[in-house]
Amino acid sequence: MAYHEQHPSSQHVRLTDLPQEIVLLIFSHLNLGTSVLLSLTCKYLRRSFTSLHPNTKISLLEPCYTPPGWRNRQLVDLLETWIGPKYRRRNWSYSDMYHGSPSTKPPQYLLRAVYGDSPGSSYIPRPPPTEGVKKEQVLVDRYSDYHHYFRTNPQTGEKERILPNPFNAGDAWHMAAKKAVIADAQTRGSWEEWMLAWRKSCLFHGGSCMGLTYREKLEVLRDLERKGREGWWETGWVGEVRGWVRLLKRRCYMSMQWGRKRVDTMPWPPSMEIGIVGRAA
Amino acid sequence: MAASESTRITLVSNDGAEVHVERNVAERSMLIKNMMEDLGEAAMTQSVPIPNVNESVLKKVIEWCEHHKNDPPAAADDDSDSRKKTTDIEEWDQKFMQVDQEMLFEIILASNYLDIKPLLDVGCKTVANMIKGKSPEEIRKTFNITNDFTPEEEEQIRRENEWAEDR
Repeated sequence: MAYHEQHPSSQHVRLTDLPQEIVLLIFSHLNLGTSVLLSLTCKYLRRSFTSLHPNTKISLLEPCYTPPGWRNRQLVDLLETWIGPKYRRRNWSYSDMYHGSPSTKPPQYLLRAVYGDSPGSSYIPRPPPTEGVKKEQVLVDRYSDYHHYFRTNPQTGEKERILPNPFNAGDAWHMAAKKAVIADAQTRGSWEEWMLAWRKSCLFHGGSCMGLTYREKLEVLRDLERKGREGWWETGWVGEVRGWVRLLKRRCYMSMQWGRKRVDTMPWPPSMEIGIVGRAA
Repeated sequence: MAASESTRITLVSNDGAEVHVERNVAERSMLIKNMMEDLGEAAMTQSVPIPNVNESVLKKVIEWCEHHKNDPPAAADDDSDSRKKTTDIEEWDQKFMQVDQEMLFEIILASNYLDIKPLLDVGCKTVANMIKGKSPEEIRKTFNITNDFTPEEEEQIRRENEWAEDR
């Protein structure tokens, strides 16, 4: 330990007494993760930090400086005491299954009262998964979908997320997200395009999420077909023939897809797919 | 140049102590250098007041300037990020900075006032190194900082950054 660390400042001059220009200079010698740690000590240092990084959302996976010889550490390692005992860390091995930038990861701390005390994992066999473990896996799936789906805004030309932000939305997120997925069908050229776009999402194939039911998918299909048929009538018999060819192609496509484990969009043979009433997934 | 090196000037600290120093050593401070240029020959006969720095800090700063009097001037890209992001400090400077925290901050304030950028950098890097690997609580303890955040403000920070899931 350095000499000045063993001799904390007396009442005369302290770090927080330094003018902001010097505090900013100290921040300039720190990386983002370490700057966050300093900024969480008091309001004065927080203000200096936010003047350097206004409106910046900081990932808990941001690396922090460590003294020579220490193992590399991230913000999440050094914030455990600040965040408090009400929260626990999210399961590490499970979250690492999801690649991508740190900003696409779900929050790293979970409220114990909701998610339980033990980290969840679907890869470590343990009988049977608790409610907290299940909720944690659902949470990871929510964020996976949220960060995966974008569309280009025709007005601005910018990419925007299709699904609502799952942060602190709880289970209510699924209802809003399902609405967004169903509404997205209207922007697609065909039912196949919509299905191809969403079939890998947790929302679509179910998984641990409370995803779209068979009935909801069928509603989208019927809606699109009805619109398509209206369009074919308007364009005359050429359009109608073209429409029927598309329908046949869709049926062939679904025949090929049917039987594959991950695609549960149409769990019955294609011949039964339309006109089924009263059967839910 | 040789004449300038042998010329000594007198600095007066805010507690009235006179410190005699070679001109080229004192001119590590851009403030003193500019003052010398403005005053011309008069500066040789008059003492130069340093109203914001006391004797012990001034002597410490002069000690650093003595050691670094032959350092080349700072490069043009002195303010580049690569310079700022490294917190490596040369060995002599590390030993020089082994002082109590009050003196460390006084040196930083004095180097800022006297406009000695390399010394200011060393001081800030020393503080930066003290922060490395510490949690906010440990940083508070090290620097005797009082936590003035309310629980609601801490909650707001958690929420803004989406660090913790509550539902």
